[in-house]
Amino acid sequence: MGPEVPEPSDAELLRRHVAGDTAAFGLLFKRHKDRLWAVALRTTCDPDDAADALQEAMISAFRRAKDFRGDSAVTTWLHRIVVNASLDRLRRRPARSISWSGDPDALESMLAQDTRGGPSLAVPSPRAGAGLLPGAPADPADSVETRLDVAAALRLLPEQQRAALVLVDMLGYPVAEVAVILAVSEGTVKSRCARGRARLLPFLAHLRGESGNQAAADTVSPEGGGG
Amino acid sequence: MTGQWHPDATALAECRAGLTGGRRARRLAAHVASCADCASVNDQIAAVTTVLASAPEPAMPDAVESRIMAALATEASLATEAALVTETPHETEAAHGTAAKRDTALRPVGGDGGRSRRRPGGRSGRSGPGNRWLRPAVLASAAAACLVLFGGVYGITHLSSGSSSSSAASSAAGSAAAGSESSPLAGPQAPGTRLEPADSAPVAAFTVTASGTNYLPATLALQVRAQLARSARTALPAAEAAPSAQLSACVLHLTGQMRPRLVDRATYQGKPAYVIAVTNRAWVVGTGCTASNPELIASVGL
Repeated sequence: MGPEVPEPSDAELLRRHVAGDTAAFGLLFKRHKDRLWAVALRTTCDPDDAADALQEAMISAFRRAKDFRGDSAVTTWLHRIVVNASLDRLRRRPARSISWSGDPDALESMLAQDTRGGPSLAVPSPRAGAGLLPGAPADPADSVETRLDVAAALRLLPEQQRAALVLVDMLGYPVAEVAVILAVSEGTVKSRCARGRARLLPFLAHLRGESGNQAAADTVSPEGGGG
Repeated sequence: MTGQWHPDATALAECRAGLTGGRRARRLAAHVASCADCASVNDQIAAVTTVLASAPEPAMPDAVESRIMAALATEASLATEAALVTETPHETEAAHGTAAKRDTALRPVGGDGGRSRRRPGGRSGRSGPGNRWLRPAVLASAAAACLVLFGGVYGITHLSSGSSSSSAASSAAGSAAAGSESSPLAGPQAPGTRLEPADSAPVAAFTVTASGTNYLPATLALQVRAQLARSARTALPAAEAAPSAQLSACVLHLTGQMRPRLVDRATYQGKPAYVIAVTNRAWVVGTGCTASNPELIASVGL
């Protein structure tokens, strides 16, 4: 057995693609497909839109690969293209975009409309238990809070807040990298995340389990990089 | 400190995010330390982050992956086709003899070495995987492959007879609309061959048929092959007297200035579309197809 050949880096795959290797970009896509899918799906909150956005993004990246200058990681560059494609898609379909004012009555109305098959808040049907931490209430009819899992709650956020929260809190990217992806300042990323968390608080805090309690800080001292 | 004033959740979240500094931050911290309600809110804000981080990451559905891989394969195919028909002027000048004739046959009409050729989806020239695809070795093998695939013997013979003209600046659309009678390649005897050497104006002689076929993704290649076989046996019903300049430009753009073997005004998944085919590939485009925006719906190898 000879020595194992190390897998090519993302940058190497992109370089090969630009040089004409027709398989290289496909490998790059496959390597990161789940994470890119998560970004698209959670930013658009719609599997069809996510698929369209991701396809557009990958074709765009395929074509623009030679413009990649290496100023950031290849994944950062890819995520930026995916986020932009997802937000573009949402902008092209404003009727399917959800933004909740914060008024509980308005939310109740939206939910009621959804249960009648209305278009405004089609809560995705998650896999059993998906998005719920252990100990979460079992009966989804108990209250507004318990009717919302993570995916549904995210739909209540303005798009920019949602994109920031998805990248920082859900996917764990550092604020500095998210600032590059979203092409905004780090302060803006932190602000969007903070406002998004505050807005989601009534709907998600009840889902916290043991880990949530442990993670909760006793004071309001600034958080770490996830900020 | 715990009297009437309580910070709202946003203020607490911003403070947790490090967006509040100095005296205000210290004041908030002191308040939370002495107010059970605000301490609870503060805990819940932290829990939101935990809940979001704990949500399982969705795996990409196989159907989505397949769809995107197919789209990328189409892109790669289109880029490869561009490489087959594109060449730099320097390489043209350096070519001699039969090789020069082959290279000339591979040049896109327009005389700019293909740099102005627009790709489906709006990109111009070789904005995809880069001009390094056009290295001489690649071009040499591409030339050979193209000649084999697209009736190169005819092309060489034809080019040797000296049929070039000097109207290199003519646009594909304009030339395509000029009619077919004067084309030395007009007629069914040369399907799939290149229309003209690079220094000649292209002449698009093709008939738009209306087969009435509803093409489907799963059977697209088979259906196109069937239409090609039918058209070889008998003339398919024509959809229009002559293709519009817009359609001609679109077709020539997609085929790399080659004569299409099939341009069928039909439906694709029940929606009006044109199905365009050369020897080894077929495209489905929208009815508003233009050279700059082919409205590419699908592409398949034959």
